[in-house]
Amino acid sequence: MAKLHIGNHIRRLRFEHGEMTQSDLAERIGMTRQTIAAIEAGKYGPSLEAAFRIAHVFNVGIEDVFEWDEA
Amino acid sequence: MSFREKTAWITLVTILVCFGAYYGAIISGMLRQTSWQAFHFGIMAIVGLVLLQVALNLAALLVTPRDSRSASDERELMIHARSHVIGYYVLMIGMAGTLIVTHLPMRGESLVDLIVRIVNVGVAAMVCAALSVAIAQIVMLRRGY
Repeated sequence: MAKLHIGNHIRRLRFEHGEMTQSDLAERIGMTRQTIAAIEAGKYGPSLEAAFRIAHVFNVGIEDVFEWDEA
Repeated sequence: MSFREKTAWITLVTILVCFGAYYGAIISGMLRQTSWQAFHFGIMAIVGLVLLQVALNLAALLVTPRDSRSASDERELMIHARSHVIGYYVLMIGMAGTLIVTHLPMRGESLVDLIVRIVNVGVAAMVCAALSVAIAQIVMLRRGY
C-alpha cells in the first residue's frame, strides 16, 4: 500500500503531553485506537474535522500536527 | 485485535464452515442437489450459520466490551463502505454466472434439477460476496486502510 504524503507529529505531541496513550487520544476525539495508530503510521489520512480535533487536543495549530511530505 | 476485526473473522470462518460443508457435500457427490437431504442440509447450514455467528459475536462482545460499545469512526465506516463495494461487484459477477448456468444444457435434466442448480449458483454468489466483504474488511483493518 502506498504511503500517504501527509506526515504527522502525533507521536511526539503525545509524548510531550504527559505521554498520552493512543487510546487516550482516540477517546478524546471519538475515534478508535486502531485509527490513531493508522494515522500515526501514515497509513490513513484523517478527515479535516478529525485533523482539527487532534490539533485541538494538543492545543496547537493543524500545521503543527500535519505536514505535506514531498518525499 | 479490534472488535470490528473479530466480527469480520467470525463472518469469514462461519460462512466457510457452514456453506463449505453444504457445497462440499454437493460437489463431492455425497448429496444429490435435488434431494430432500440436500435441502435439509442447506437449511441446517443457514441455521447453523446464524447460531454460530450470534454465539461467537456475543463472545467477542464479552472479550472486548469497551471496543464493541463505541460507534464506528470515520476510518471504520470507510472500510465498511469500500468492502461492500467489492462485495457488490463479486455478487454481480456471480449473478452473471447464474445467467450462464441457466442456459447450460444438461442432458437428461428435469426442470426441478435446473431450478435447484440455479438457486445453488445464486446462493454461492451471495456466499462469495459475503466472503469477499469479510476478507476486504480484514485486509483493510489490518493494513490501516
